Amino acid sequence: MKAREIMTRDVVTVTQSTSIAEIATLLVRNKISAVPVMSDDNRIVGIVSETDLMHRDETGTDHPKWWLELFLGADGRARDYVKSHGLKAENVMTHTVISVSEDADAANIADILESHRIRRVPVLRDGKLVGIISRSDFVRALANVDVGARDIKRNDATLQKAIYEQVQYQPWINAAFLSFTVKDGVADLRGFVDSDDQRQALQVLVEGVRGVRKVNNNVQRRPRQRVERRR
Amino acid sequence: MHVGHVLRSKGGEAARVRADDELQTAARLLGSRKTGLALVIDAAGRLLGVISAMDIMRAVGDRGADAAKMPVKAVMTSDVGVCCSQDSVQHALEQMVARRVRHLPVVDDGVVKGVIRLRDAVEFRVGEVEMEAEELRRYIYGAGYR
Repeated sequence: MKAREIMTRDVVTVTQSTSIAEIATLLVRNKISAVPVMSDDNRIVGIVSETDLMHRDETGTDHPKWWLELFLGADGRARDYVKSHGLKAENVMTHTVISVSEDADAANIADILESHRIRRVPVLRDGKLVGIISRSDFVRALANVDVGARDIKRNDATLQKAIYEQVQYQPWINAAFLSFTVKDGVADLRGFVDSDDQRQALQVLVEGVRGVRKVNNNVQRRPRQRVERRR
Repeated sequence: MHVGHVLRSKGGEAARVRADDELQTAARLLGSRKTGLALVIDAAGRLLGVISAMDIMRAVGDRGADAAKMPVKAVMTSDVGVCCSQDSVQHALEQMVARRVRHLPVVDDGVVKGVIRLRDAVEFRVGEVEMEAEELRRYIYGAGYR
């Protein structure tokens, strides 16, 4: 198994000047534990993880995401503190980023994660970020391995199920507004998403499902809802 | 406060697999339950070990796609620290820190009751500490007596 087969393709990134309040929000909203930091010319220059944010704290406690939630909590004291101190991604990020190529073998990646005691590793192609791999990607890869029938054409019902499973795993998309049908290996996507980025990412995701020959992307951007405010 | 209290307030049943289940089954369970750990139990509900995303990562690293057919017992961690419902939350926390783990199975009289997570335990302790602080403040300022 290669990096490209197991990596998560849709990676949330930030720039060096993103405030750590924004980063905390991104981590919690996207249910992720770190974001790569990109330079202006789109090179990866660092990574900010929960742990990096934690070290800003004076309490000396370990991990817990509850800290992040407190951070976003109603009273917002932590947020005010951070804002007033003007901390940005570049102030807290880990600079030495260990990365792998798309062709890296799963065995090497597992070794890297384990021996460096890191929880995720960016995947690069010609120095550009194309994905990220964490332990849960291995779990997902194994969950989706088509045992015994790997080279045999998968029937449409199996493909449809595989697509639903893949989409269900993605924290960035709400599957409730989407439907997928498959006929002769051609996947037809319908429904609504929040943005063009999501629409595009969905296409990439479904194209990556083994056995899908072609994707007809009929997904639309959901029209913004107008909120009637009562005076 | 006791571990059992945290288990009740957090409710969620821990993911469970059998030692002879295929690794793919365990991977699917972890994925659908969005958790990093499942308990491995026998027919009588006794704990045999745990299987984590880390164990699965190692297996996939070693065996690639063939890992899917391996039995859970081949890769699970059997040397697991446990606690019981009557243990204090503080005690459970100390065990997790000492063992560098984020989850601790809760076992009463040999029967698995669930899993206490580091996060839940910390959250709980924070709540307790805040309450103690509030009581102290009231005591000092005499609030509640007026």
